[in-house]
Amino acid sequence: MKNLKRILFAVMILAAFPLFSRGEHADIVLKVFRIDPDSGLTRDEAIAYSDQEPPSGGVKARPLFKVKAKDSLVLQFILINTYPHGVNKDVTVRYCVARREKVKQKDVPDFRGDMITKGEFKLNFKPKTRVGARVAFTIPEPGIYMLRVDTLNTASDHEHFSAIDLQVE
Amino acid sequence: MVKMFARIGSMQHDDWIRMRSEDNVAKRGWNLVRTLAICLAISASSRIRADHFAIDLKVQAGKESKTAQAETAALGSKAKKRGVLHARVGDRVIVKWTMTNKDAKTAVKNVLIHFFAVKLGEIGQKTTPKLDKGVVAESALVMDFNPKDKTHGELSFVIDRAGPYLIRVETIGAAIGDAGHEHFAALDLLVKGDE
Repeated sequence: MKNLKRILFAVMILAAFPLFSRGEHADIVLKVFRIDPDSGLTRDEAIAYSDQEPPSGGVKARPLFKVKAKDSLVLQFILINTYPHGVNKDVTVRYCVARREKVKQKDVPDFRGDMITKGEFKLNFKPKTRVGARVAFTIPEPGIYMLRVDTLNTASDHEHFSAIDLQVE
Repeated sequence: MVKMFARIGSMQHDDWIRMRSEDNVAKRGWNLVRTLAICLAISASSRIRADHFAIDLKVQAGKESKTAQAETAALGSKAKKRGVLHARVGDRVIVKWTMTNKDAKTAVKNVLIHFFAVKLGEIGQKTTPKLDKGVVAESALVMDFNPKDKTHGELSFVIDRAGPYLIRVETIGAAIGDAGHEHFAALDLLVKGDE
């Protein structure tokens, strides 16, 4: 009887493990800089960290960065795979700057469509794998935009992302 | 970007080709065979290294596109003349690269795949500019390459300043052994327009 209780307890712990381990798969730091186009020096910046979906749009508050149309901007992210148990094959890490209808919009932009800038990397994720990018861009027209970096195909019940809203005046 | 990565973790790579050659030679012990084995090992390992990574780089700007394949970067190696792609300010530039470990047996650990697009002084410039200014796009990722493993990158961006640019993807940490070398593929992009 004692053994049966122990086995049941062990099974419960194992079943609950994915819940405990949520949020520990990727460490993302996403930044956007406004820079001086001639000197390249940073004037100001916004920063966002790792969040996860579901729920759609994540659980953390999304930073809002106000800029002017045609400002020289730079996006930068570094993603570190913090999942310590083995290799995930063919993981996609992608990023974009895309037009949105409103701030805090939750749905994911369609990566097949036109965007201000976008990119993706497909690779095998081993523990502590790192992926990063730094891309210069300008936004020609006022409006609401979003910077986003996310993962796909990590063989998990959730994916990680990080996002910053841009209000372009 | 690469410096940032280097700070996060050290890059290491296998040195198994050299070690394997030395083990085989030690077991045999015959001078003639030993000499032959060393010659063969050096020759074979050179071939293996030369074929380790395949790179396909494709750059599209407007309606024009160009491709480049892998070259090797080592002491004494001479880079080929780069292809030149033409674009106008505001054209969308789409870069696609694929890096494949072609070797059927060799794994190469902790290889950093580094991509960048940076402003040049002139088309065909032989020295690679420092990446402290004029960088339009840069990316880096670290991966273990088991035999036949590949990684793929695709970046889409707009260049809003006219001038010559270098587009290059390269390995860092793929050199194996004393005669090891890195791999790269590169193209020049000449952006015309108002400056």
